Amino acid sequence: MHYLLELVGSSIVGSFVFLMILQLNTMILESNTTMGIEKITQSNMTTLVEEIEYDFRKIGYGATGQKILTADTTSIFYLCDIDLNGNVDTVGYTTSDTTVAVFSPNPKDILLYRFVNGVPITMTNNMGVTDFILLYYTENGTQTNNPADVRYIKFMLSLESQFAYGEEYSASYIERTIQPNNLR
Amino acid sequence: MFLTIGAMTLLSVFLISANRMILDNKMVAAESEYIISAISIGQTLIDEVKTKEFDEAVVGGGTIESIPELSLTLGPEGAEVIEFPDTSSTHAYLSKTLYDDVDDYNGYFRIVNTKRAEQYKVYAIVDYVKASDPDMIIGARTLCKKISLVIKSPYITQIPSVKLSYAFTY
Repeated sequence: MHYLLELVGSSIVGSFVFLMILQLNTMILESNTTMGIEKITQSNMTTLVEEIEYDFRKIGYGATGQKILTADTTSIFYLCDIDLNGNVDTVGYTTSDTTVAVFSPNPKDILLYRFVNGVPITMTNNMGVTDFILLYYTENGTQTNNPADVRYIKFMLSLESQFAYGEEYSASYIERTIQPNNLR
Repeated sequence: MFLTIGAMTLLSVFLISANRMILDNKMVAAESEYIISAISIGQTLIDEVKTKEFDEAVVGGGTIESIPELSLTLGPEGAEVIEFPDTSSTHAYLSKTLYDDVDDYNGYFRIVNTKRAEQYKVYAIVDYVKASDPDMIIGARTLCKKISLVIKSPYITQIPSVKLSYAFTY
């Protein structure tokens, strides 16, 4: 009887230990997966920001007269010699709505389009942009919507992972203010 | 009996350290977003400084013919007074309109709040540096000024601060 009790007791303790190890293993797997997803999201963010920064810094380069053609909170079109070939191009950024990114399981993501001379280039097939907001400021920091008065451009970019772990999407947000040299 | 207690203690130590490692990993992943934001905030300030003149002596279209014409002390002049921290919810920082040359930003302090994190503290220092080696700070005046930014956030704990610098030449 004594040995039987010891056997049952040790089996129960052993089962708990086994469950703890299983739980730990699950936590490590979850941590690795979420870390991987977050890394992809943040990597997408930095890549996208670099590209937008490069383009926005070029606003007005090589152009005369009014450099920004249209400016609102979700899109901007401006003139610049983006490919440095001596010809002034029309470059623009605009977004789609959430129904266009059908290939992504994330219901909130949208597409960010970059136009060069009217030809749209989808920048974010798999980047998970969920929000792209543009704000414009005059020289003294007053917000404006008049393209002729714009000196600073602030963009706010939100990204989410395409895939969720459980119910949670990994999110990343950045805001950046750029003063293009040719708008000074 | 002692063998069992020993084994359980070892297992507990292992579980606790594994748990700590997972938490640390999550912390690093979360903080990297705030670090990226801090870099962006620093670059925004550098962009602003880039729009200013190199020195007070050239504000309004003047030129510098010789080194002694440069500002002797680095910092804002006359009416360029800002009560620190310079902060704005609408991006209308006072430095944009009050400061007109690079070294006005020496000692500048700005607090930036974003949608995801607030209280980014940005400190700026401007020094004269050697043009051929911008890391070398020189006490005398030169035709190269370097702005060094230190950005701190209550959400960044893994590193003491984010540091950025940019050298301006005349």
